[in-house]
Parts: sequence; structure tokens; C-alpha cells
Amino acid sequence: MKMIWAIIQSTSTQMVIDALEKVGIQAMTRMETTCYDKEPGIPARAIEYTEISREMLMIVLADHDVAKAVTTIRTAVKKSFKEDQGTKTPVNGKIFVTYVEDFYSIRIAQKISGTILHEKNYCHHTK
Amino acid sequence: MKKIIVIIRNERVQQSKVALENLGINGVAVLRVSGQGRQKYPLCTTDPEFSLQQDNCVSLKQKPGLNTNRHCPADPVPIKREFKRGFLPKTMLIMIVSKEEVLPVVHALITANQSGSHGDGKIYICPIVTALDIRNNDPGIIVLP
Repeated sequence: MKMIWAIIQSTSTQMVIDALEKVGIQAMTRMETTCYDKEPGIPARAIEYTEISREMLMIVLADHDVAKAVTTIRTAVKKSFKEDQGTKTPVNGKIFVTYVEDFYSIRIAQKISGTILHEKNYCHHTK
Repeated sequence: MKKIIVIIRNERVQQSKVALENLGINGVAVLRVSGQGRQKYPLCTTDPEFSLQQDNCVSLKQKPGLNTNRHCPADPVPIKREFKRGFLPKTMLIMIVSKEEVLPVVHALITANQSGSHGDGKIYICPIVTALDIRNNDPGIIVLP
């Protein structure tokens, strides 16, 4: 089981979510965050805002779905960047993959180990 | 040491906090997030054309002595309830506990948050390689509050 943390531009979030839903990954958590990186800040008169707002997506997947999810996120972000080219700076974000030992569903009060989630597997498991 | 990531309903944060305090877990990070899963939320949609034809006009026609050619009065339009899947506000709790405390914490969180319907939340347990206290560089288990 793996946990994917993807830090992406706010403008491409919806496109990434749509792309993930198309490949069957629907459960995810999103949160707003700010980043400080190599990207130049946003100048506003005398001040330069170096902390730039981003969105972070957290997705927990079975091991065999990780490659598919990472590819989908990368493709969607690049696609959104191409659409906005000329107005946006070329910063695409980061993807981190970490290990999850155990996973519990609060609703059914049960440990779901091994292959988890995404809809079909999870429904099959609970039945 | 393990990191426990919990995603719960916003209204259950206080109960979870009390449950954790009863177990002696005081160090918890709380984040406001939005999550999408199998929980659906109701959409209150009105379809004026549908309601005008099906409800108001029909009921007027059935009453004798009423002019049915007249435009239907602006009665309250019946609401069709639809449900849609989407991002809903949730709360994420992050805590670091020792290996022995994982199961009691999980049980306490399940007890505090279980309602039996979709959207109750998830608990993830992740390994921690090392932890350092910034204040005095204490490593390992000493870091735990």
C-alpha cells in the first residue's frame, strides 16, 4: 500500500482530479498549501511574495496502481501547463510516494490490509 | 514509532480530541482538508418546467371553476433532491505514537467517529524512520509528548 502526495499548481488541480477519475481513482484528499522553491516569487511593488500557493493531493493506493496514478498526474499537469503556456511559469510540482503499513475504515471498523480501495477492490472486500 | 493520519468529519474533532486525551495523546496536528470518497452530498435543484407541468397546473385543472388557460401562479416549486459525489470539508489529524499505542489509538478513534454511514473517515498508519525534537535535539521515543 502506498500513499501519494502530489504538490501541484492550483490551476491544474481540477484537470488532475478529472484525469484520475477517468482511470478509476476517485478517493482522494486535497488541501491548500504554500511552497517556497526555485520558482521566482510574485513581485508586488516593493515586496516579492516568495511563498506561492499550491494544492496538495493525498491518494492512498494499492501498490500496482501507483505507477498508473503517477503517470496520470504527470500527464495531466503537463497538459494543463501546455494549455496555459505563455501566462504561467514552468513549474509543475512534486510527487512523493510513501509507504502505508495499515489502513482502517472507520465506518466498518475494520482493518483493510493488502490491496485496498479503489472502488471495485474495496467493495468486493467489504462484501 | 508510527505516524497515524486520520481523516474524519469536522463535527467529530472534539470527540476525537477527548478520546485521545484519555489515552494520554496530547500532541496532534489538525489540518482542514477536503476529501472525496464514496460519501455523497445532496444537491437542491429546481426544475421549473417540470414542476409547473407536473404539479401546479395539474392540480389547478382538477379543481372545478378555475381558469386553466391562465398562467400558473408562482407557487413554491417542489424540490427534486439529487445526490452528487464531490469534495467535502474534512479534518485531518496527524499524530506520532509509539508502536504499542497504535491499536488503542485506532480503537479510540473508531469509537469516537463511527456512525455507520459513508464519510466516517479513514485511518492510515505509516512508519517513521526517525524523529528529532527541535528544542533539544532529543532523538527517538523521547520526542513523543
